[in-house]
Amino acid sequence: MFARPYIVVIWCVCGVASLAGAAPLGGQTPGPEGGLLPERTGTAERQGDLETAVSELRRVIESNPSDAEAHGRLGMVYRRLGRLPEAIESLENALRLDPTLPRLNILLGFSFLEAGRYQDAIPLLAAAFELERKSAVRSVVGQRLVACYLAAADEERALEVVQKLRQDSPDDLDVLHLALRVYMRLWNSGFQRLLTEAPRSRQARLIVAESLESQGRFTEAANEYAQIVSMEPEVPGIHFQLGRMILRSDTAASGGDEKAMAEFRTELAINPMHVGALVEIGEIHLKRGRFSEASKSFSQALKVQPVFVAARLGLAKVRIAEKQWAEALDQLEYARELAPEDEAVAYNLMVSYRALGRTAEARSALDAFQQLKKRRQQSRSGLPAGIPQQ
Amino acid sequence: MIRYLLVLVFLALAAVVRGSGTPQGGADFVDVARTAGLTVSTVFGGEKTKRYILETTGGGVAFFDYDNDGWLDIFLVNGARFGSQSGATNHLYRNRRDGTFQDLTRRAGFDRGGWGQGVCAGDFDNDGNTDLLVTYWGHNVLYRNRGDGTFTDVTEAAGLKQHRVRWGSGCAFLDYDRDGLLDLFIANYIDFDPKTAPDPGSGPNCHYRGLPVNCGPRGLKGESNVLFHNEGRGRFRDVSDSSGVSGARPHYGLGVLTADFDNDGWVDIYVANDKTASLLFHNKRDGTFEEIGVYSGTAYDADGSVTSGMGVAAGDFDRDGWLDILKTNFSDESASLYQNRRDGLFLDAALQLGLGGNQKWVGWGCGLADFDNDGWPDILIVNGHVFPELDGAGLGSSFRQPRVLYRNIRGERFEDVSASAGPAITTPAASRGAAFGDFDNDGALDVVINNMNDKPALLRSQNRRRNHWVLIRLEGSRSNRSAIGTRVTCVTGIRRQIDEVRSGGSFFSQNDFRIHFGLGSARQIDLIEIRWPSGAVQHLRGCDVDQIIDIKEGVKEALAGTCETTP
Repeated sequence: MFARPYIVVIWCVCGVASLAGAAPLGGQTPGPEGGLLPERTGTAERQGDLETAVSELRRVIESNPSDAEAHGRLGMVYRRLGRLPEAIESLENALRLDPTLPRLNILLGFSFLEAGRYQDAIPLLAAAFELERKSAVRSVVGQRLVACYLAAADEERALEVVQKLRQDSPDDLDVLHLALRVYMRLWNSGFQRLLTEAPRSRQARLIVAESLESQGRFTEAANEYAQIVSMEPEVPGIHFQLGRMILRSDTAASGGDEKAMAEFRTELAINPMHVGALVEIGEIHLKRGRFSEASKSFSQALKVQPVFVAARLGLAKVRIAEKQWAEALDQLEYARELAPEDEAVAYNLMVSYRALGRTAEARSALDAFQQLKKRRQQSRSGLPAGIPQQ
Repeated sequence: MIRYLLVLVFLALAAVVRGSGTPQGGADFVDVARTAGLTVSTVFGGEKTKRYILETTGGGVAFFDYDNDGWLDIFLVNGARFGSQSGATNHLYRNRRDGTFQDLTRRAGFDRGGWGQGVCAGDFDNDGNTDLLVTYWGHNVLYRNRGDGTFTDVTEAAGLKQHRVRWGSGCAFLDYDRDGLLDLFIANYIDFDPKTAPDPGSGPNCHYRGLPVNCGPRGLKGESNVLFHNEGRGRFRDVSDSSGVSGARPHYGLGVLTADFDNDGWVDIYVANDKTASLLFHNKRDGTFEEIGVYSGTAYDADGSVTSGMGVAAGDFDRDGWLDILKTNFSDESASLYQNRRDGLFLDAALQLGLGGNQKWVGWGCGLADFDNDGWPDILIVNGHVFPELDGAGLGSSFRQPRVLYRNIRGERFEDVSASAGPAITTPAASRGAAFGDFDNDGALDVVINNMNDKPALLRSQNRRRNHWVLIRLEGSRSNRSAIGTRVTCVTGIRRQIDEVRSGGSFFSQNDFRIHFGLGSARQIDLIEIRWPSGAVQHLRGCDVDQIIDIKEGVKEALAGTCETTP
């Protein structure tokens, strides 16, 4: 008989990465004669002579069909040979004979997944995922379980597992990649459902518009928002979105600002507290050099929401344009407290300190600005040497 | 009788209304390229699609007087096309002084093909003939003007031969150490190799609004700047590292602008970078430069965000005696107008000054010059998208785009007068390089534009405002002979204007070396002050308006032009 720790040893030797394929076996192995597997079996496996290993293991099993570990080991060798049906049969035999064999159920789950038998794999991997304490193993099992759920078109359960994985390993890039795949699948399936069930609904058009916006297709997004407005002109938020898209749209000729302004004003008529619309109006006025109107709009937004950084920054930019540096600084210092990571706030702080001749503070603000830029670039990083950062 | 009076009043009002376009708009232009003989199309990459970013940047153009006859000639940089032997070369057109030009390309020796980019002028050997540096993706070429109508490639003899293929972009001759010899600054764009460049649509940096397009510049390797010191006897030495200009982090360099931004008498260098922070090299007067772009406020826009810098121009738009910087950018970005605060800090005042209304265009060549001669420098920007694939893509944008003309309203704001400036401004084109100068010597600034895969445009100013003007042609003796870097101040009454003789600028282009000032209604120039790079200062008083004045360093009286005294 094999000693029970043997399979655990295999796990350690194999490493997590080799879970899917079988591991090279090694070491002195216990066998049926005298409690040890014939030495030649281990040697054959180490040397990659897997066919010999199969013959040896089958011989062991013939002499002792209830040897669970021999079945298990045979299953692993079959996996290495890519003979999945035989691997599954052997692993199932092993587990039937001894359901407590550690982690063999995981290998069986992986084998089912690779064989396309997702429904068979799911209960095994789900149970293992809940029970597994070793983080690296849990992560790999979780990722395979997500793959099973995705293959079985069960995105909701895939999301549950992926969220747990993200809690376990927030910085794991494989997990992040998997999470993005799940989100994308969820988005796609939800989108398809919405389009199938209510293709002309406001909600369907909204999702189309948002999708177009995310692709930078602002003109088309504006058209979608305009359709929604024509269907339901009183729905809060849509005029604001339409205004934003008009501003970003290439079709907005020089009169685009005014068209967008009209939409923002309509939005405010529906919802006078819409700070986004107030800020956009302020930005248009600022762009046109109409400082007092800009100031009024930003100030109104700040009355509604004093912690709205975009409004505070907008007001600061008006003060900078008017060369009222001390007043600009008041706004910017407050904005920095609210949003210490905001690059525009940090940059304008540097400019304002410089204008006021407060050189030391300007230098310090410059350092802060550059640190923020650097951090953002690093977060995007992975760029090879020589690829410029912004 | 009453009916007759009404007709008269109507006609009078109609005349006012009809005429108001020009006085209000300030300047209008007519494209006379075809009748002037500028009829050869510039070849630059694919016409309908562009596989590589190399095909998108286009070429520069120079207004310069190669034969010293007092009339501006034109040099147009040409490109190439993948997969075809276009046979395109750069073109030299001689000004026939009658509004037409003669193509002397072959006779002058400009038979070289390749991916030409920028051009800048300067008399590097002080022999009295203006030489040219043409940048290439490949190897830059220094053309020595032999003074007999021909040019010789002296790149290797001058020590400018590169050891690898580089993408030379903007360039400028400058005398950064004020030794009387013109040095040379060249920006580089991308470390580009078509063999390794990704295919259109193949990555995140290869799409524009969902459309698969050529990749970059993001994701491609950046480059560094080079500075060559003129050692005399026609030789240059690479001082990029020791001077500090190559040390800036990798970037995508395009437009180059040289000027004395801090009024210390030493030329500084500004480089407009695409998708990376632009650079301002402050001249430390010891042969080295310190990069102060971010701290000076000239690296980013007013939010501290990076823009896609293309063309550059300098001018004192608010007439405070300090040169400001104009920079053109990509679409969805306003052009930048960095207002010099006189304390080393610049503020991007583009939006406040009225330049925020044309963010749908991709800007290239630009001028900060007085097109209506009212004494306030205006702005002209030529545009064109980088993706011809946009045409017909239904994205609401197109490859060809109109130009934009802003009139300077007393240094307080700019008014978009494009609509009243004529079809030469409003007709869409895929423009790149633009050079500014007075090719017909009528005192109104004209513009020559290099259009991509199209014939060039020659915008003759139809300035009908009857404002006065002066053109000042300078020749250095102790200073470099092109007088590059010379600061000129022109005083008429309380009006005080400044400008400098400059090599390079705009987008990859060369403007008229002559200094042009619009003088409004002034009937006499009280003072012209010339500060030469050598440190010498000359004054001319009581000069007539509406004339071209020739001044040589060290010679008290104007060689040409009428002035009262030269104390």
